Amino acid sequence: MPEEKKDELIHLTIDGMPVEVPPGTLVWAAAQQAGIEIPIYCYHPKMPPLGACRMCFVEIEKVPKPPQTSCTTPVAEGMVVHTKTEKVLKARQGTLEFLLLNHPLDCPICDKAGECDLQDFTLRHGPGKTRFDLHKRHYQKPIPVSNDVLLDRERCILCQRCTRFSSEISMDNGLVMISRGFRMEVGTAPGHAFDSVFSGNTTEICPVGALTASTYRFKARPWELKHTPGVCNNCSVGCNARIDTRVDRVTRLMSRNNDAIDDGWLCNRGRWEFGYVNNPQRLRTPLIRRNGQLSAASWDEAISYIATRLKEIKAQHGAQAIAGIGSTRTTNEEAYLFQKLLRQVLGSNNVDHQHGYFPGPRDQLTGKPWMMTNSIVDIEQASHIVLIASDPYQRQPILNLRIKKALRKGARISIINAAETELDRLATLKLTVPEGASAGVAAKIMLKQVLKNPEVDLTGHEEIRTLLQREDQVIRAGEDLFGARMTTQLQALADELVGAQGAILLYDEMATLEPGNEDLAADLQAIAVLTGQIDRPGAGVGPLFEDANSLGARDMGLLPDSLPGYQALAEPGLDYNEILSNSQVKALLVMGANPARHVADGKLSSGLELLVVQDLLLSETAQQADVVLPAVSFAEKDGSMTNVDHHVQAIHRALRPLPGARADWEILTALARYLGAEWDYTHPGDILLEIAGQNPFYAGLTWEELGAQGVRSLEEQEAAHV
Amino acid sequence: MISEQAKQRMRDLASRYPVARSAVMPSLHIAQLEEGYITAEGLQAVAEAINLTIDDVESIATFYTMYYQRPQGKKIIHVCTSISCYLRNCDALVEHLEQRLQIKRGETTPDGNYSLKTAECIAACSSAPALQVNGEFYEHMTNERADALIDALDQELGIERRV
Ligand code: SF4
Ligand code: SF4
Ligand code: FES
Repeated sequence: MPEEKKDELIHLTIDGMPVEVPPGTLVWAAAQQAGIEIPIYCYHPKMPPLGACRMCFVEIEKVPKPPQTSCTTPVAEGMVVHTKTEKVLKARQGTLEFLLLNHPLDCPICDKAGECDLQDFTLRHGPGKTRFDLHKRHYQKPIPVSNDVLLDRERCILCQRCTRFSSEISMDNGLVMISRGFRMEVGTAPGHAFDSVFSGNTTEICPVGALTASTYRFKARPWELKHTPGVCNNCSVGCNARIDTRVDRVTRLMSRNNDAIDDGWLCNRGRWEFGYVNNPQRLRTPLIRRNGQLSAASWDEAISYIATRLKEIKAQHGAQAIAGIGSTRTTNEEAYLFQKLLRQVLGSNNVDHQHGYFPGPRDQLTGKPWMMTNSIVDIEQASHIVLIASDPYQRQPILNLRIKKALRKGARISIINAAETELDRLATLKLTVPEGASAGVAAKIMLKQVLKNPEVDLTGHEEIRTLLQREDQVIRAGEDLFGARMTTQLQALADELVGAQGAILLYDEMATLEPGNEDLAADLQAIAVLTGQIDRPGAGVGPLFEDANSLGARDMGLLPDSLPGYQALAEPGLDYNEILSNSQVKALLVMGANPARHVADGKLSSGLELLVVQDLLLSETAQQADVVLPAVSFAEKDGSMTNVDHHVQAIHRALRPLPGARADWEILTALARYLGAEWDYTHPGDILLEIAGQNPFYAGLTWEELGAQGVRSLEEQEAAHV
Repeated sequence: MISEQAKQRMRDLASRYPVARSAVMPSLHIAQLEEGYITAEGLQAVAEAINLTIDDVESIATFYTMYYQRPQGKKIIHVCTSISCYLRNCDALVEHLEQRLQIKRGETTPDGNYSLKTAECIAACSSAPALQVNGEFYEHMTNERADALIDALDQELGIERRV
């Protein structure tokens, strides 16, 4: 530690142990750091202290009125703290006796029993019995506060963690304290549901069994659960999660704090939407179409059949007749192998996946691949956040909490969207894109204004002006649609960005596919570059991707026009829409995707001679396949995923793979070997090693190095080209 | 119903504070004046005027006992039961009023004329025991004075005779 830093630390003694912590640290946290447990209920490290429960008592020498609540007391130089004196122990006992006065003691039927702080602290610190021999207070139990969360008021200790989560963190003020004094209870306005997409967090931070999740109630006892560190697979944020399993089933996901990504929270989609993993309809055997019917086959049969057919089709129609559609939810290793199979083994560049529209693999202006240039943590530092055609609350929910964190620090939020969004209520500016107009043209109006701004230095970027001049008609028409008032507001916003201390512009990847938004990505990138809102703390621009490995899929070259690491191809293969519509395509390999959803009437081309689908369930696409190969979910395999801000994170096998199903990387390896390739990967770590050796964005990464919290590998490392 | 004027007054209040939320309590009073107690519509009006959620407003409305959760009588009697009034036997006064009005403390007469409540200190210690009727003070109360007060109120309300 550098000398100056050390001087800034505060020195204190806790239970005779010297402790050094930065100023402002709470006594509770200092003790925690020294490995001394002080029981808490109302305090939660992610929320400001409240001092409501009186559980965290300590004695501090020279403070006149012992005991003190350690969760509200900041450290001071020379402080001497005792956490185990008679006074402290007596005070804790007293608090616990009070908390248990009306408690129903129904631990045997309580979900929380086994991981309940009330149970644990009572055993460790509490009195063995109560002196209260009157009637306990009773409430109807439990009552729903939403479809997902139930409240048992008899178990509630009124610590207000849940309601403060709602007011301070998710800022939806949906779950509140009702009444006061002995009548106080947790609740909502009459007849109103606490329907936040973040409500599940309250069931996790409730220190007792008062708030329980409807999906998990009575499903397991905590001590029967196996915990595996994992990463949520449901959107591009990549929140760290602990996967709790019991006898071959996922029972719940719990948060696994990663300050750089999720800040300790999960959204309800992440926490509870894993039904497909446990789905009894999961495929358990390969299927081959015989006489028009899909019927069970062995793995050997299926793989050799596919290999034979692929060879035949290649011989007859050439490699260009083969195409592949990959997934945004499988691992990097699988995406990489998928394109490698297509390109190196089968000789076709017709490989893509469903994604937003970006002009080329890299942004022309910066030479960088299309991705959010700022980190998730950077969002907190921004002074201005512009959400254009994006709604993280619905699509990348945990980012919404990060934006709210910025809001609490004073950031101005501007929203440009045709629809209502949850953040509108808290935004400084909401511009509703009128019927017929688009977010794309709003971006053009802003870009035009930026170009006019005298403070903007155009050196080296004159071509942007020329390009935009060609759009003048479109812009004028757009201004008419937006009307004078909104146009002025857009222009003012653009001017604001020029001087802003740090601005971040975010758009939804999929919005780029909407009419009028063709240039959205490029125009916003140009605005960020021209206003200097890029490559510095609290500034940035970029797409909010759809899926858990959307960015990884791009990185791995699951694109018709670029090899892994965004090495552009001179002669691109067919893209997603072309693969689906081009009658030259005779063999189509689909891994973890459902393109039938994106073609008219849901029918894939009748010209296909071979359709192979790797999936968990018999999707619309799989139903039309010639061969279906049962794959396993994110909870049943190892591998790495790359989230929206380019954290490469490891996922781990939490469940035994469903009997009969195989991981996509295993399937691809088997198929490549049948086709004569010498692939000898035995673990995704081997594949990652190969990726790291070639892909400048993954240079030097190893499976071991990904550890529990992943690595944000952003800089392209030239040295890695080998 | 919350009138448009009332809503406008709430919005005006909200704009007078650096943080709009500060206007929640006076706005709740406006809502209560309009409807006699805090209704779902009142919550909604306050929430909209100040840009809060209705749950947030409900939390505040239920915290303070002077926002009523149920319809109240035309005359709301608050009898002080804090220390000075207690020493001057407010208990007997409350009991007497309960007898006279045929309701218990906290209740409202079925005809909707009277609500009887007890209150913490109303700052009339020097003239204990004291009570308030719709905010107006009546001091040095005795059972006789209480009867006379109710007689006068009955008359005002046009109540013929109480049994
Ligand atoms: S429900 Fe749980 S988190 Fe909420 S106040 Fe009660 S004990 Fe605390
Ligand atoms: S925000 Fe996305 S990654 Fe995070 S828990 Fe929700 S769905 Fe999962
Ligand atoms: S944890 Fe300190 S008072 Fe509740």
